Amino acid sequence: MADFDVVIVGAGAGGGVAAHVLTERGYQVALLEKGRNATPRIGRDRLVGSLFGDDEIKHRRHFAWHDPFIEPRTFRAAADRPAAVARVQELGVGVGGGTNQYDGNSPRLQRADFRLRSTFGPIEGTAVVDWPIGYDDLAPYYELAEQLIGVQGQAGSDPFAETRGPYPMPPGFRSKVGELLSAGARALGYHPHPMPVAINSIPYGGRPACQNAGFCNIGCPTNAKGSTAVTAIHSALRTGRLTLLSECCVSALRTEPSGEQIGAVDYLDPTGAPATVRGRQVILALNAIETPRLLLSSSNAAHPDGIGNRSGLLGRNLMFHLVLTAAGIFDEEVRSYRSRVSTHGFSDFTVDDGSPDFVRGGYVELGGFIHPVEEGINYPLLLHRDLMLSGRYRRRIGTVTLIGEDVPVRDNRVDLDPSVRDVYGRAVARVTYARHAHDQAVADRYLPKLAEVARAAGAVEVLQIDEAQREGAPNTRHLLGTTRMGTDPETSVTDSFGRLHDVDNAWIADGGIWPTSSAFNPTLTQQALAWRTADRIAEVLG
Amino acid sequence: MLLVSAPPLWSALGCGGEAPAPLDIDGWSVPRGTKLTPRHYALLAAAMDAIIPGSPGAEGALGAHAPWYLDQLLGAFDVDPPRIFAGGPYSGRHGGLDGFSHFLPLTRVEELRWRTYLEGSHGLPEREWNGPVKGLLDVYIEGLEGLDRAANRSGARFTLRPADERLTLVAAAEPAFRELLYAHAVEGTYGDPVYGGNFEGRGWTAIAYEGDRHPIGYSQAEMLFPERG
Repeated sequence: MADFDVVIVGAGAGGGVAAHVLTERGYQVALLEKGRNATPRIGRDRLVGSLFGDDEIKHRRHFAWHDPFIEPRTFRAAADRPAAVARVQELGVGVGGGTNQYDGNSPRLQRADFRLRSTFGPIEGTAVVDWPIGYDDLAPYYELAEQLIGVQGQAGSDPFAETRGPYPMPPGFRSKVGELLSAGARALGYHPHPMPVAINSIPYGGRPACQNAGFCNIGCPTNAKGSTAVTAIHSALRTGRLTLLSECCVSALRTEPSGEQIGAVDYLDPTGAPATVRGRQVILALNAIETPRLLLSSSNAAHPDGIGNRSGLLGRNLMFHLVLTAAGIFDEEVRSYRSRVSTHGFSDFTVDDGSPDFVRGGYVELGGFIHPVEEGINYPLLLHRDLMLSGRYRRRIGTVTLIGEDVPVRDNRVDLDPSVRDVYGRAVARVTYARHAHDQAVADRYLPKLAEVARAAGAVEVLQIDEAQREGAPNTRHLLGTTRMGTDPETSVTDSFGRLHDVDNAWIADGGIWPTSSAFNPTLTQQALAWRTADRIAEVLG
Repeated sequence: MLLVSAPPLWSALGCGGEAPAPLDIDGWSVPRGTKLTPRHYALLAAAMDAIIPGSPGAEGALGAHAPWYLDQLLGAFDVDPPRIFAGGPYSGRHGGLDGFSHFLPLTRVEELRWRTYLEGSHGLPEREWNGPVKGLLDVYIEGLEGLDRAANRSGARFTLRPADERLTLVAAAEPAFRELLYAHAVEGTYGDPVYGGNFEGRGWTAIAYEGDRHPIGYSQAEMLFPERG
């Protein structure tokens, strides 16, 4: 006997949106989240307050943020190398998940992102495929997600984007560094436009307009940013049909003996006591590392290699995005922290520029900021004081950052570490990842182009930063692949709606289902995908 | 040499009356009642002073009470709720609710995490999910002793060395301890004052940084023309 119509594990971008859609349709939903609720007044008549603040110390102490001390991960660059504990892809943990701390950048994908194989052809050594759905399948859900989360932007300003209607909000205040970098990009013939971003430029959805006080990446104290906590989950709670179970860590999934249904979700409640919840349908929306970890660790007689792993692809084709940054240092004061993170972007590097050696780059963000604790720790010890007094980064930096395609490679994967445990006593995720030659070619080609933009903007010095070095543990915070969707159960883990091929009532609503990574920030697309998945679940529930 | 003042939160901690006079260890002022021994506190102050020295008009780690910041972390569980996470959403310095002044109760897992990190595992099974853990106080004692040993090998105690020699010794310290010490010096100088460092915002004043600005934020003019102040 099910306790709920739907049980959702993970209250982040996808899980939050799914909870909104299903409760609006009248279903009883339980939403389990291992982290705390940092916006404890959500669901009340007046949405006020937050436990987030402009407090770098709290963030460095992992408030509502992945904490490797209690949940370490291990990393290796190849399967024949030993894995070691490393800081791998740290994201928000808690109600709202990573949307509490993300920059909010919310561009839609282009048509080519759904047709990478057809558009650009096969790439040796990769598992590049077309998605089983296209832009038109997702377009209505993009619009719904943009309305729910609240996205500012200017329709028609990106010549490479699909035709679309107006954004829910106009662009917000401009920053000095955004103006300088946009001018630099325009001087080189590119097409900068106001960044579509899930931050209120005007009061919207019962939340105030952004006050441009920075610190977006450690949680918004005013709720001007549209985290799923203060939008989707807030509205779901107000239906009276959502049971929000924060500080509840799911420990295992149990299937019925046939293996065709998930019968129970086991978790530890806030006191540490074992508990179980049952749903007619179960949505997994942890993220592309934690969802396969849970499925692999829940193996049983019917699913000896992990639940839903008939294809052997569960955990494989892990993608992180290529994140390349040219950090320009200006002579003049720009104080880029007086702003949201990105005010502008451009798409010119996502399309064929006609050159014979074309490789696809990605979407480019303009802006960037840093606050003094993070700044200070980034400086070399022996130069610290002089650099802090001059405010080299804090007062004079502007960044040009490319979000590039990270091609799927079968050997890039998540599995269970044989020896390292988390605070709950569970095997931690072991991440095996190495950059493919294609992605290195993109980095080699586009980092200098990003630096050109910074110089054209007036930067007197440019630092070229590759966030995911070939041999290092990446920390791009975009987690994709590992439960890829497709039409063939032998070559994919879920169907085109995120439903596990092998388990009738189990669905995935995180970045794991992406067959390829695209060249854009993923959160809005994941929210649209989760909406589509929830729509399908509603049809199944009847 | 700038000296550390008495603990800024003396009265706030309910220790009424006059704060007792600080100790003097090799010329370093050490507040009473620290979690570190007076000698270790002096070593810490000497190390942080070398990393972030003060100058006329620009206080460094000592003026910002960065050593006291670390001591407050070591003693986080002396108060309830513990001094780990300040509340939100605002500091009150620019209006709005003064949420920072109230520390947040920890969840069960957060308390286990922070007690393990600060106190060590002490053989308790629930704290040894990946084996024994040395507490932060012991990590600091070991690291500070290492600095002093290195100093003594070349002739004089760490606390008696001039700033440039202390910085050289810090730079040559064991990497994990050096990174930890550096991070805490920075946090204690430029982090929010509620945690015991950045006393009276001196760290921010030194670098001409405004600090947190919610809920007033910045106007369009302040964003486009930051050079005007």
